[in-house]
Amino acid sequence: MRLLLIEDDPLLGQGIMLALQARNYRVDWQQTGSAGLQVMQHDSAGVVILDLNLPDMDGLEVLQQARQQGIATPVLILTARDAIEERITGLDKGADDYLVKPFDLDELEARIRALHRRASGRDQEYIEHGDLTINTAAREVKFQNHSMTLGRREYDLLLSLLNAKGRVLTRRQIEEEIYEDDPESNALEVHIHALRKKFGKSLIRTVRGVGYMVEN
Amino acid sequence: MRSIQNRILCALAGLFSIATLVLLSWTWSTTHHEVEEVYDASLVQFARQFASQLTLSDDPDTLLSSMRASVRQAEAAMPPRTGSEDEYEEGYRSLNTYDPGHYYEQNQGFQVWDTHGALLYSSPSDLQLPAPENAGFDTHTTETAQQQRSYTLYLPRQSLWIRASQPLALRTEVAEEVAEQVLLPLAVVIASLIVAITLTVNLNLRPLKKISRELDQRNSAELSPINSKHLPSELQAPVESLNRMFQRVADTLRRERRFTSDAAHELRTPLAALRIHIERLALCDEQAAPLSAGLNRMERVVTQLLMLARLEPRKSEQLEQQALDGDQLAANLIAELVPHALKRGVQIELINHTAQPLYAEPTLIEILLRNLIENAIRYTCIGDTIIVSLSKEQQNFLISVADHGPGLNAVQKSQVVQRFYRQNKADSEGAGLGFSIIDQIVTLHLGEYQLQDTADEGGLTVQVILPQP
Repeated sequence: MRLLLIEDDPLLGQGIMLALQARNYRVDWQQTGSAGLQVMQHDSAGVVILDLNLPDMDGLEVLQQARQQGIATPVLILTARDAIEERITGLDKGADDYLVKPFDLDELEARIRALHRRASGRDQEYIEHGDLTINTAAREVKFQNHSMTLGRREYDLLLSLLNAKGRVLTRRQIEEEIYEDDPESNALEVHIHALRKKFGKSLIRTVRGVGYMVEN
Repeated sequence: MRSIQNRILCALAGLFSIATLVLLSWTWSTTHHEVEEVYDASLVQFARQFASQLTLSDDPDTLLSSMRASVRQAEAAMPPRTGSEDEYEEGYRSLNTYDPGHYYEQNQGFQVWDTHGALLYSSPSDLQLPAPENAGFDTHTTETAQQQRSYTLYLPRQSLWIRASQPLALRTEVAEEVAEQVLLPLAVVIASLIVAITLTVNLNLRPLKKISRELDQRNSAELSPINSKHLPSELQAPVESLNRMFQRVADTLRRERRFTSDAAHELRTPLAALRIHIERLALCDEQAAPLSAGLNRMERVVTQLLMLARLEPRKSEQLEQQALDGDQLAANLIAELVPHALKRGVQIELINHTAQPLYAEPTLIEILLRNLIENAIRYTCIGDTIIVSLSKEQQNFLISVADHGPGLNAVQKSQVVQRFYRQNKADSEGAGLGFSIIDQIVTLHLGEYQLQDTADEGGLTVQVILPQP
């Protein structure tokens, strides 16, 4: 995937670029808002990583202009200021996600992946987790090289949890995503139970009172 | 005595008293002097008139004897000189219809002496004065009564002394009466002046009182200038100085806040860069771990300092409280913290006992919960499960975070709330600010928090009590 990084701090810019390149991303690094905006206009990146504090113009200004020009590329904002106000103004002006400095490389990559997935409207074609392989195009699930048969809800639930690997999905999030057509359903526990029966107890961790997760 | 009003009043009262005394004694002495002059002149005049009568008479001896007779007759006809002036004059009038007389007439004395010291004539007849030796004014002290003032002249042709006299007390009496007449209006004028001055001073000190009332009502964070437009010019200068001081304090505070916000930015960007580089390094070198731990600690200190800096200027009245789904808020936050906790081998559970909303400011509650849970993660032991529970008891919303780690003894419990205190000095990540932040947020919500031992298994339970409307 191609990424556009707009960051004026040389140390941080270089760090992000090298780290993401090491993870097989192509990174175009621009150090000013205007240069970044120009690249956005002519070249479509998968995700734009935008620092708010730029020498020539405010990052939010870059974002606003890009959106006004009809550029729909997902934008991940990097901010050093306090998260709460930034989040509100940033999201108001068309940012897709934000990340407060300092951040983990894993966190950054997870956000980039999530943004890209959301923007392209499709999931990764193959998902692997331990002995588990999913071909999302064919909705095929293999466990220890055996094909498994899953119900629609079970499949959706498994996919959500695997896509959010390493993070906890709250019950509310899962219900909104998977059971939106049937909000009264109490089937979540049932489906979790079913998945554990098929793939082993350790696949899904319960965070009591909160939700579920698949650990890395 | 610190009150300007009292000082002015006392000073004025003192000055008035002195002025009154000066005025009175001056009035008294000038009046007395003038009265003396007038009376002395009249003594001279009387003596001369009397002398001219004697000089004009062909036979002074006969004249004197007939005058003696008339004095005796007149004195017999006079009422006793007791009682008031009015009683005397009324009595006199009833006796002498054609000559009403005057109370003071008997004060006037006349005497005629010959050169051998024999008294030839005296009116009143009981007037006791020594035989004259010189012409001119003299003052005598008589046995019977008052001092007498006299004027004596000598008629050389007749070899007679003529003397007119008056009691001295008469003059003092007149002077006193004049002074008395002055005293009363003076007292009235002074009394009304003092009242008027009191009112004026009061009225004019009103702006000062208004300012002090206004300042009293301010809370410590209000630094807006006092409106000096309608103040008297004497007050404008100090009020403007005060306003300038307010301005300086406000500027300092603003700069301080600005500094923390700038510091946030200036620190977080290089921290982020460091983190990225260290993480890249850590991928190929395990020795980068201590670097990463040091960085974690620095990040946390910076974050918490900035949180505190943001919280400290806040006031309870400015809270933006709203009804929150406490369960949802806690669940989202725990979901975020669980991966971090799991890395340390710690689990977190949420137990919600209430469906009631929580009235609070969402961002602050999030910070509060985050600090509580992060503290618990940091200080409990590996393998523990931290229990976050929410409940409602009467008018209070209770949030408690319980761990089953080593807990705190009584001394430590009192120490943890101090800034930069870290329970475990060897711990590489704590900033020692968690409880300061918790304390600030709880206080802003007018609530309280308690540090308890976790029931049964031991460990620390922090219970936050937030009063609800």
